[in-house]
Amino acid sequence: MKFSVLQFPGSNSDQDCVHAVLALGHQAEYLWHRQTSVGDCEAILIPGGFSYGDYLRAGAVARHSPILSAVIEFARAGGLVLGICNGFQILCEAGLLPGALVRNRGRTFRCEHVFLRAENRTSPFTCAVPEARTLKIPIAHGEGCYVAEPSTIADLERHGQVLWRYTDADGRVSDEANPNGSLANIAGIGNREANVAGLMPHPERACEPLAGSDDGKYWLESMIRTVTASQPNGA
Amino acid sequence: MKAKITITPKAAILDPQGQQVQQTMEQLGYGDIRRARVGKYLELELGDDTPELRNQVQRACREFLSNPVIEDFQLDFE
Repeated sequence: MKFSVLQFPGSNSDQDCVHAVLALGHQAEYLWHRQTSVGDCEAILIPGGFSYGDYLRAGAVARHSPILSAVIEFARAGGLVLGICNGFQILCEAGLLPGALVRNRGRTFRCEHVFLRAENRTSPFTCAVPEARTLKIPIAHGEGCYVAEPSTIADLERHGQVLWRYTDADGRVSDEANPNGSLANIAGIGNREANVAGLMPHPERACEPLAGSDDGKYWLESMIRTVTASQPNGA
Repeated sequence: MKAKITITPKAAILDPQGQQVQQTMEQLGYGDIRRARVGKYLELELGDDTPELRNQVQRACREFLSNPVIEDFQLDFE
């Protein structure tokens, strides 16, 4: 399966994303922000970093880049798009996901491992997660506090669009386990159609035991399982 | 013509920067500072004043310069 990884000036997790895909035995190529087509890829990863220096707002400029128009078209046609960290901020700015990410409630940049619970194990981004498994994944962000109107949060909950929540090591949701003040401990969400998702933690940095955890592989494995299952020959 | 744009976090959105400014001002003894909100200010130099140009800048405020989910803006021309 072939992934494309976007590259903006200021992206810094693009190589981690490509490395993670290659480590799982699949293909990955970069898409530069000035490109106007996503080519023949089967899924897109929007990596973390500080695209365009986070000028104006995180993701605000990247959202209007040429490649994003192609990504929006790809997503509208049902293609799988996962935004990680700055990629999540870009997807919210683009309106592909509801809500926004603002400065962490505790005012500090958080760089550490956290625990997540996959809330909906039927999505293309969570279907490979073993039941009842708490996922150990690193975070690194200063603006990861997820906010949205109360009605939007209620809609997300009702339609199973909250995909990951911050928990403690035993999978319990608590204020102590919430690193940034996100509403309802939300670490990541999907769109109603379930083909676009975003999260603040970095699964691509946790795909090998050497990295301190390999739970991140479940994100890519879920996407791979979804795409290969949709192909007529099951290849 | 100039456009002067002030962007502020919505009242319902937590503003940690504003909280920090308020706390520090209090610590420094600047008196009865009850709340601070930190936003941003933009100044655009524009061509000749036309209704179309005003509309375009208004649209830019809504679609690009501010994020209506978390921010309000005030636009003034002079």
